[in-house]
Amino acid sequence: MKRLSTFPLLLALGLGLLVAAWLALSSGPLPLSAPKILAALGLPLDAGLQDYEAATVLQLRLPRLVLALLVGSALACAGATMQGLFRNPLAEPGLAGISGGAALGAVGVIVLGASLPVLATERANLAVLPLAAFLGGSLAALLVAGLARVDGHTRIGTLLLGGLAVNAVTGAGIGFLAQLADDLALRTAMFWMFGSLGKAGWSEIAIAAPLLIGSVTLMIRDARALDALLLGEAEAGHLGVDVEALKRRLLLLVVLSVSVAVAVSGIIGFIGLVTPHLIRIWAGPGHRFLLPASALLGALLLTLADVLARVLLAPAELAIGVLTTLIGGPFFLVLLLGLRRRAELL
Amino acid sequence: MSLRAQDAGYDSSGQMLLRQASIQVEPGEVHAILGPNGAGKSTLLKLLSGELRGTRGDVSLDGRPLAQWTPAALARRRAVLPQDEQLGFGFLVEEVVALGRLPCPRHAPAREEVLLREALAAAGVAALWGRRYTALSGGERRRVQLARVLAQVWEPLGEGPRYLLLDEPTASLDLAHQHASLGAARQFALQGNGVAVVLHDPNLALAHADRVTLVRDGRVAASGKPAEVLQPEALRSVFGIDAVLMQPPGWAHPVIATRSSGAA
Repeated sequence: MKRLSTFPLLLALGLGLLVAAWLALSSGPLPLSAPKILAALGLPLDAGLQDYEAATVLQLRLPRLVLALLVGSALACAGATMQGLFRNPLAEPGLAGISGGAALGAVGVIVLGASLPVLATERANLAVLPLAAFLGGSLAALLVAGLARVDGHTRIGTLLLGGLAVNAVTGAGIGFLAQLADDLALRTAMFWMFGSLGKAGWSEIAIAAPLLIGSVTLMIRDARALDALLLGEAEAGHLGVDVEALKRRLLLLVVLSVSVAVAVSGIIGFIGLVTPHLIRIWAGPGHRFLLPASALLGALLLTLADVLARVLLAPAELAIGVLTTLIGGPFFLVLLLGLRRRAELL
Repeated sequence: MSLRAQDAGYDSSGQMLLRQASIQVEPGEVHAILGPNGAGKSTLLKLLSGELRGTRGDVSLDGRPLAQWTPAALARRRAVLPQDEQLGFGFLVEEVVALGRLPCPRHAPAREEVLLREALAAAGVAALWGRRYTALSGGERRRVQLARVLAQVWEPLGEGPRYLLLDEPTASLDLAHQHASLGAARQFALQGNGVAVVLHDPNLALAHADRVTLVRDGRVAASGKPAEVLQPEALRSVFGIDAVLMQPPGWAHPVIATRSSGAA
C-alpha cells in the first residue's frame, strides 16, 4: 500500500480525537444538549445547566474520557515500542504476559489486602495497586523475555509461547483469588480480566497521568535508537547506540506504562498490537512518526471502543476488553495471514 | 593513526574462534582479509569493530584501546557492514540509508537528501530511491546496506581518518557489482580513509586491495602486498587448492586460476 503523507494523517487523527471525545461526553443514559456539555466544561454559556448534569459530565464522563485517552495512548505506544525492541510486529505486552502479570499482582493485593488492615483503606489501595501491578508485570516480563533469549537473540516464537503460558497461569490465578474472596472481589475479577474504564475517577487519574504521560514521552525520545535497532542489535551498536542500556530502559518503560494502565483499567487487549500495525501500513515503520501517531490512534480507538461498550448493551455495559478483543482478535488473524504470505518475520 | 589489533584472540564457550591475530588497517589503504570458512575472519572483523571484546590482546583506534571509546564517538569514525542483514520492516530505501546518519551531526533536510543520494550513487543503487527495501533482491539489499554504512562515514568530521569494515560485501552480487562495490571502497580509501574487507575471491583482492591478510585456524598465515601473499604455495597451504598466478598482458595486476588439489 502506498504511504500517506504524515501531515494529513496527523490532522485526521486530531479531528478524529475531537469527534471521539465529543461522542464520549455526549452519549449515555442521561441525554445532554451540546450547550449544556460545553457549559459544564466551563464555557460561559447560559444553557440552564442543572447541578446533577454538571456532575454527570465532570465526575463521570470526563474522567472516563481522560482515562481512555491516557490508557489508549500508553498501551499503543508501549506496543509499538515492544515491537521495535523485539523487531517483530507480533510482540505485544498483552501477548507477552505483561498485562496478565500486572493484573495478577493487582488482584493479589486486593484479595490478600482485605485481610491486612494497612491496605484496607481506599487511599492505600490507590498507591499500592499500581506498585503491585508493576511488580507482577515486571516478573512476567523478566520470565518471558529471559526464557525467549537464546545466545543473545530473542526467539519470538518462544516469547509468544511463554506469554501464552504466563497468561494462562495469571488468568487461573486471578480466578483462584476471586474464589477465595468475597462477592465484591469476585465481581472485580471480571474487571481485571476484561477491563473497564468505568471504575476510575480523578484520584486514580492523578496518580496514573504523570506515570503514563512520562513513560510515553520517554519512549518517543528513543525513537531514532529504536529505528537503528530494527537493523539488528549489533548494527545498532555500530551506529553508536548503547544497546543494552536502551533495551533495559525501554523494557522498563513498557512494563511501567502497561502496569499502570492495568492498575487503573484492567486488561484491555489488542490495542497495543493493532494500533502500531495500522500506523505502519499508513506511514511506514519509522519510530519518530510511529510512536506519537500510535499514541494518538490508541487514544482515539480506546475512546471509541468505550463509547461502543457503553451504548451497545445499554443500560448494561459491555466490558471494554471484550470489545477490543472481539475486534482485535480477527485483526490479529489477518495480520498473521499477511505475514505468512509475505514470508516476513515468522 | 590506524585501526589495529595486536595479538588479539577470542574464545566463546570454550572454543577458540580466534587464537592470536594481528592486523593493521592504515588510512588510505584497502586491506583484504581472506581465509577458509571458520578461520576467524569475521571474528577478527568483529574485534576490530568493537562488537566483540577480545579475550586476549589489544584492539585500538588511533592508539586508544576501543574500550575507552564511547559508542557514539566510535560510530563517527567507523562503519560496519555485517555479513547478513535482518531488516524485516518495510522501510523505503532512502530511509534505510538515513539510518546510517544516526551518529552524525544532522544537516538541513535538503542537504541530508543530497548526502543520501550521493551514498546511494556510490553504492551503485541511485535508481532504487523510493523503493520498498523488503521488496528488493538480495543483491540490491546488499548494496543498499553498503550505501547505509557509506552514509555513516561519508563526511569528514575533522576527528581523524574514518574506517569501513566490510564483511563479505560482494556476497550475492553479480560480477560487475562486485567490482563496483569494491570500487566504492577504493574511492573511500582515496580520501585518506581505511577499509578492511573480508573477501573469498583472491582475484578481487588482487584487483582492489593494497594489502592482504591470510587467516587460517585463528592465526595470521601471511600478510603483505596481494601479489606477494597470494602465491600458489600459500593458497595450497591455506585453502588446500591448486592455483596458478598469471599476468594478463596490459593489466595492472595478476589473476589467479584455481582448481581442487590434485585434479588432473
